[in-house]
Amino acid sequence: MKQVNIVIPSVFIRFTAGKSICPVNATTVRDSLMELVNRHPDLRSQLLADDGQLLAYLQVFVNEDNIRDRDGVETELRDRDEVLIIPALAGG
Amino acid sequence: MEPLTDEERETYQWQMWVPGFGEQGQQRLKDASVMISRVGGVGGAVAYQLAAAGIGTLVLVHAGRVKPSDLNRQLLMTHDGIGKPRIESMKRRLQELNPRLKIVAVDENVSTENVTSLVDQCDLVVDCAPMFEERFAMNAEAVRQRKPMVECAMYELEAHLTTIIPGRSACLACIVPQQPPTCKRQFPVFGAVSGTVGCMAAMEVIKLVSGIGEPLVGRMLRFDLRTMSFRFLNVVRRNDCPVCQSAQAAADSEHP
Repeated sequence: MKQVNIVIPSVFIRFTAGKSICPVNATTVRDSLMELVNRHPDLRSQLLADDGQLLAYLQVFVNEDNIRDRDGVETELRDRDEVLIIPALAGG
Repeated sequence: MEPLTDEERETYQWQMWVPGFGEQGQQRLKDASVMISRVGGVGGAVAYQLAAAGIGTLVLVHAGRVKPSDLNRQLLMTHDGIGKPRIESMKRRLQELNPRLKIVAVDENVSTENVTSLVDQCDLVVDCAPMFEERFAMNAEAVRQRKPMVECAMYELEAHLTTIIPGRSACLACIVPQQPPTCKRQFPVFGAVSGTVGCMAAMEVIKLVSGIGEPLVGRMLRFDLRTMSFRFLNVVRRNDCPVCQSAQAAADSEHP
């Protein structure tokens, strides 16, 4: 298991008791997100569809790379990686 | 091309001292036409900085009338303009700052009906709209017309910024393949946040037009002023992006 930090966007911090960084132990992005929603169950519907898949309009990055350009939710993590949840922004 | 006047040389003297910019960069700004979609918290800051820097022409696209709730962030709107068209306030404020600025003021928002003629009038576009429908329409047309688009947006204390070069870097539809279902017209905002990303977007325009520095092409700046954290993300073109595919097909048919 690797120690990683999940970076929570403003729009979701009400589901993580105000925390913008959530440390978790995980091997893959999928594991890290499952650990996150297990700790903060109200976040589940914000991140995952009913079938457990990541919602299509959310982007997830590991450090500077979109997991779409790596191995998706199976992207493996290293110690001290950052997993960033990136919702689309449109405010102007 | 109208050459710089003595008044303009005096006004822009301090920025013409920037290495690599000089009189040539200033002339390029004067010759440029930039469209800004919605000139509110973000777009107002873009417009004000570009007017100050001596851009030649701004095409300003924003419908509606000034409301009291605009005034915490939309710095081109004024208290005495409440109830009047926003476009009037912004024209007045910008021309107080720069009477030489040419303004094409459009009292509409971007739509699929007007976007072609709007983008056609400019060299590059700045996307500051609060609705994804407007952002996607701007993006598709900018890619189709092969015009750069500076993409900037914010929510609460967070913001993002990237520069899209059609055919070369990820477009908005590459970055956001699917529109979120819960997007709201109203959002929490401090003017200092929208102003910060707006000023950065103006700098992207200045770099693109003048040729100095390195625009944020293929990278997205994402920042959170709550924690003062700034991160750079790689944004990559998608082979299955319908906007990029359509533009490429059109280009291929013109130049087989």
